[in-house]
Amino acid sequence: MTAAWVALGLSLKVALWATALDLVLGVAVGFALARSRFPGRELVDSLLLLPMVLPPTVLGYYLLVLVGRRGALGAWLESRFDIHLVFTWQGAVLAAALVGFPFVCKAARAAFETVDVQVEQAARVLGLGAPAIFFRVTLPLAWRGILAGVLLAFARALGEFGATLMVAGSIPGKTQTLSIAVYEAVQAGQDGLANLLVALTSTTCIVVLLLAGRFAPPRIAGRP
Amino acid sequence: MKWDVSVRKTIGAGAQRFELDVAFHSDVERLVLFGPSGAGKTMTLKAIAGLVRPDRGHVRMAGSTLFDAEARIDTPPRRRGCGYLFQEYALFPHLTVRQNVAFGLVSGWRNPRADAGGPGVDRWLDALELRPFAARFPDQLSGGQRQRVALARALAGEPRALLLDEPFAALDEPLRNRLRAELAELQARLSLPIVLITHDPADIDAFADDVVHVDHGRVVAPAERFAEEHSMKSSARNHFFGTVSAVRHGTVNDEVELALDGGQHVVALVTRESSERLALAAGTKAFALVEASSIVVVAEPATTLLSARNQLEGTVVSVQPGAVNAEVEIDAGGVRVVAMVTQASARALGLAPGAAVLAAFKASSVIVGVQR
Repeated sequence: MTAAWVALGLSLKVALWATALDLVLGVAVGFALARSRFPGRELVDSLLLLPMVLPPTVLGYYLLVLVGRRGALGAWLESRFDIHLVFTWQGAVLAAALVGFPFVCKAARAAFETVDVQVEQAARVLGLGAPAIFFRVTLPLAWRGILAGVLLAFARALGEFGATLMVAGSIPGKTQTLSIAVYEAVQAGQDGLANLLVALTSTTCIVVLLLAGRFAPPRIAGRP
Repeated sequence: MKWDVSVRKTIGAGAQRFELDVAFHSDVERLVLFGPSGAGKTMTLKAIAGLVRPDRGHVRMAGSTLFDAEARIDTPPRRRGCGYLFQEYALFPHLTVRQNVAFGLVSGWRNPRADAGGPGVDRWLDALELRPFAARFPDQLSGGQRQRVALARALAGEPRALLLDEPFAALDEPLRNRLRAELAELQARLSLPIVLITHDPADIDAFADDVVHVDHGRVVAPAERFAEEHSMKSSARNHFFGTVSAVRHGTVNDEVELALDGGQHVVALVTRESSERLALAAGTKAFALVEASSIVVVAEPATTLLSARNQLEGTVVSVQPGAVNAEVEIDAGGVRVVAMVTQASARALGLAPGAAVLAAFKASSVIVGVQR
């Protein structure tokens, strides 16, 4: 039974790290797409949606090619920093972050585009530099839209199966997340364990939804 | 010289292309840039503030150069010392009135706290009577209160000059009049140079020491300005300048035909007595005054036959809704026509910028005048 709790803990750890990664990268890329004008911007925007539409196993394969021991990035990481991503929980984070990225990036771009440029200009005239304007005006006004994307990315990361299995495998206690453990339990005919895992997954998801409703502010932060 | 501005900038391409080429200098404290919407006023003001970078030219304020394309000077907006009032005020919707006013006084990456104080903030909250609303958010304020917050926010940084973009356009008429007086009083008290841009002639009457007329991205020539300023002294909203091209005598009335500077013709019915008093004859420089309420707007010019002698074809430039009536501005081949129609009519006719219309008025509703 402890195996189930270990899987839950691992799932949460992987999903949280993946979401944190998505938050930083998704907000940065979403902001760049919303504010800069360069040729091929819409093409880049479409390509960033690929993780949403490609089969997770295909994504996992791409990741393996890239960060595997013989992959371009993987070999460099191993020789330079002694970092191994394949068959590690960090590899699972990478896979989960990749599938969740479009949710944050899309939401962030849409949210940034709704921020009135005049309000940012007002901050400029009042003496603020670009980073201060971003953190004091743009981000607070776009925050609610971004948060919606972040929650979706977290949910997606929590349920990630295909790409994670390809990159990180299914090592109990190391890379075997909840969704993978469910699959393994059913395959092995361990119905009791499968039932517990499914119940645990469902409960976790419901709690996440409730928390989301609790913490997502009904209006802009600070309003009565 | 308080203001020495010469800016050129081209934006867009093809049909969207807009060329701004505005130059003026002035030494008054209350300068008004006047012109119809889309004339390039806001772009000029943003170039002064540093929010728009001109392709060529210079911006000098009270002797110091803020921008000079040739000398490669481009002072960033935050060091220009200009307070700026945006058209819709552009308050920070996520911050309280107090935080909005304190915004520019706090550096760093964090917003002022909800209880941000200090003399710099309290002084302006008091000066603009905002104390009772200090804890409110912008969407909990009326239009007039929002304008005062925007003013307090701009003034809190102790700017060297104030730039106001249509400060009264978003307000209703009675409030507009009160705030015009308040602004004039505030300006006098602080003796702060102000540049105000507007499309409303009433702002000129209430505020301007000097006026720069801007249209189609250019400053309108001083000769035309002189003529326009003269006609501004009439209550009629339409003033057409031209030359008498024909006088046809009747028994009671004369029919006077005026060839406008833009090429159009206006026919007026004038009594024999007046016609002789004004010595109207072919070649006389004259102008025609028409009340905005005397002008009928016809939405389908191609399929309509009217008895009115004056029918100027044009396109709607703007529709400014008021309490009951809407003011429709029409560009009839370079001649500006202002018509007052009811809101209901404006809606029923689908009057919107770009619509092809006919501005029709009777020959008997035209008053002809000459300059002494």
